[in-house]
Amino acid sequence: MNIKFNNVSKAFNNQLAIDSLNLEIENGEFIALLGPSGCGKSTTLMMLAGLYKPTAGEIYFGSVVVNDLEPKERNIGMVFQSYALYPHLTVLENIAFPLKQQKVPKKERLRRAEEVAELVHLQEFLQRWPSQLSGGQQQRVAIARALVKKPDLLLLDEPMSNLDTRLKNNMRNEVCRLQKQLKITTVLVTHDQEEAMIMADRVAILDAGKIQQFDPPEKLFNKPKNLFVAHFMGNPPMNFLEGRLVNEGNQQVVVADDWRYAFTKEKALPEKYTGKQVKLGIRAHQLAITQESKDALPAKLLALEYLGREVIIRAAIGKQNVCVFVENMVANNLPEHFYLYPDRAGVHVFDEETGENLSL
Amino acid sequence: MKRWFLPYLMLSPFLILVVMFYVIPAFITVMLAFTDMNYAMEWRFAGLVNFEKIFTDPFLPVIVWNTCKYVGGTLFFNVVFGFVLALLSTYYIQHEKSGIFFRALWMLPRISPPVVYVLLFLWFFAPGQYGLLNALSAIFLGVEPQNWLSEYAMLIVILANGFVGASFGMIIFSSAIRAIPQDIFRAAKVDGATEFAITKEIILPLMKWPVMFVSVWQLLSLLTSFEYILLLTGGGPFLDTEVWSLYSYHRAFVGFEFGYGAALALVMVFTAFFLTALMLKLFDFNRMIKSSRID
Ligand SMILES: Nc1ncnc2c1ncn2[C@@H]1O[C@H](COP(=O)(O)OP(=O)(O)O)[C@@H](O)[C@H]1O
Ligand SMILES: [Mg+2]
Repeated sequence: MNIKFNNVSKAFNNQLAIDSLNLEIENGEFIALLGPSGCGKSTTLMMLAGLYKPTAGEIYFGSVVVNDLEPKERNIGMVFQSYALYPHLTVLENIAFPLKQQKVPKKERLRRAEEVAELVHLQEFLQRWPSQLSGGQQQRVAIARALVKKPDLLLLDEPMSNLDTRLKNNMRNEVCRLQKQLKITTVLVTHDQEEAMIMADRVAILDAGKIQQFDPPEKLFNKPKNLFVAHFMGNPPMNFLEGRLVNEGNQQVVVADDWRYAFTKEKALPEKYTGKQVKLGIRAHQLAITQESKDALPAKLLALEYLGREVIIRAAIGKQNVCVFVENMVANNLPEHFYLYPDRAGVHVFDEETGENLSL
Repeated sequence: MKRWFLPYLMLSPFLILVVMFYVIPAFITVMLAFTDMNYAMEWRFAGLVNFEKIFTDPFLPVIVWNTCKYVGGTLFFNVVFGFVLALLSTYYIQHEKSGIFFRALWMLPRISPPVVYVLLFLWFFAPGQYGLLNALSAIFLGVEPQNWLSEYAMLIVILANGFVGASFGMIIFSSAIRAIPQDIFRAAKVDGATEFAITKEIILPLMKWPVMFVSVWQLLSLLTSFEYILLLTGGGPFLDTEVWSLYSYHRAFVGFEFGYGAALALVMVFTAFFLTALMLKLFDFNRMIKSSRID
């Protein structure tokens, strides 16, 4: 089932939480809604579930407008951040609950619940109470309960945020495996970019109630549409250097007090941008350390952070701090002053005013 | 030495009050039960005479039956009605202020003085054409005035107590319903539950603990309190609404059989203990305090 948001807005007490959202999800696709806390991810999900009604716009399931459909008429499965297991029901009864609501005969619903429980490796815990389960087990019950009625759409609201790192990785794999196996259209909500990148086919980045970019993970990473996306994606975050775009002779250059960066002919920006205040965006792994000043940015060493195989160097270019990934070997004999040579393919130019990426 | 002394010092006024007004009277009551004290106010120990008298008292079957009807009926009314009120005012009326207003309304009988409240009831059910119910039924149904209070005495007693008591259950159940996380209701809706199913399969089972608490609490207070009955019917007509505690009061302070009254009270206290233990067993108290209920 493909899903479409057409100019959907949602206001709480006249305060817009979602501002005319447009989004299309293909049948069987796994998408993630990624954004900082409070940006409206859960609100969007609740509208898909039918728990909130959009203030304006339409939500389509296939060709049907579902704005006025109750949650129970939508055939969706949902996993809540708190898991929301029924504390007075056993694991098996929890999983069978949606089938009970559909009046599936007892024998059959228990059989189907057991089947799904097996899918998420819960068969040994069927008679336990939710309070007797660990976080990971509770989450699997929640997933099983969401899957048992074979939903057309699976909604996951930060399902992994209460798990420790090890478990998180396991569950990510499990959920991806289940999703591919069952081919359910899935929407995952998360504030964890790593999670979104690993799991989803496409990621929608949400900020201030608007979609900033909706693309496959590698495109978000390599071709961010604006400053927000560039800043949000990647760890450590992209480095930004403020300067002014000018023409020097026949060359296009970004200049600042302490450095300059010249564009090659093929990378040059349209003429109309000349004179703008811009931010250069370069990722930590796309700066190389060199002793030569040609085409490079002068930097002063501030600190080293050892991460095992790699080292993060914190350095200052003029008044701005940057991070650079280097190998252990290089980091050990670093002078205080050196140069950073940017990988030209990885340099983005953002309009400081609008945040738009001018170099796409 | 000082560290433990101060708290005790602070508690002692309260402790003295408790001893004076609870412990000593209880002790005296137990003692009295073994005397045949009457209006002459003489302490004369009489062994188990009073208890023998209880079991041969010709009024006893009626009193016990009345007590069962009164306690059972009122308890049922309180719990069911209290639950319905709580459900309406917290779950179905999601608007916070309306819910609070609705609940405050039901608190009125509890905060109005019993005498005033009973007067309202008496006026409502008064015999003759000036009683409110009679006036209303004359206008709308055209029927003759009835003497409600003598014909439906027990029912009216139960109603009067029920309306007061329901607010207790309502408050307890309301806070229990609010303690259920919103996500549980959302999950249930997504899982396809109707509002009725949510009430029956989610809310009701989670009310087991509060229902037990309210039942035990109300049971004890209903067994021992009789002021509304005394004010409404005085136990009449004949012995129609004479319950155990009222009977004990009547024997002691109207018939001046203090010894016998005390014995009746003592038996009632033990009955209350027994019933409480039975209820805790019935509701599986141990399992409930062990497992977390809502997390
Ligand atoms: N039921 C509600 N009533 C009022 N405001 C709400 C409600 N739900 C969400 N909001 C507001 O809408 C915004 C988005 O919330 P939410 O969707 O929960 O964010 P996220 O899930 O991305 O953290 C927040 O500013 C929040 O305060
Ligand atoms: Mg959220």
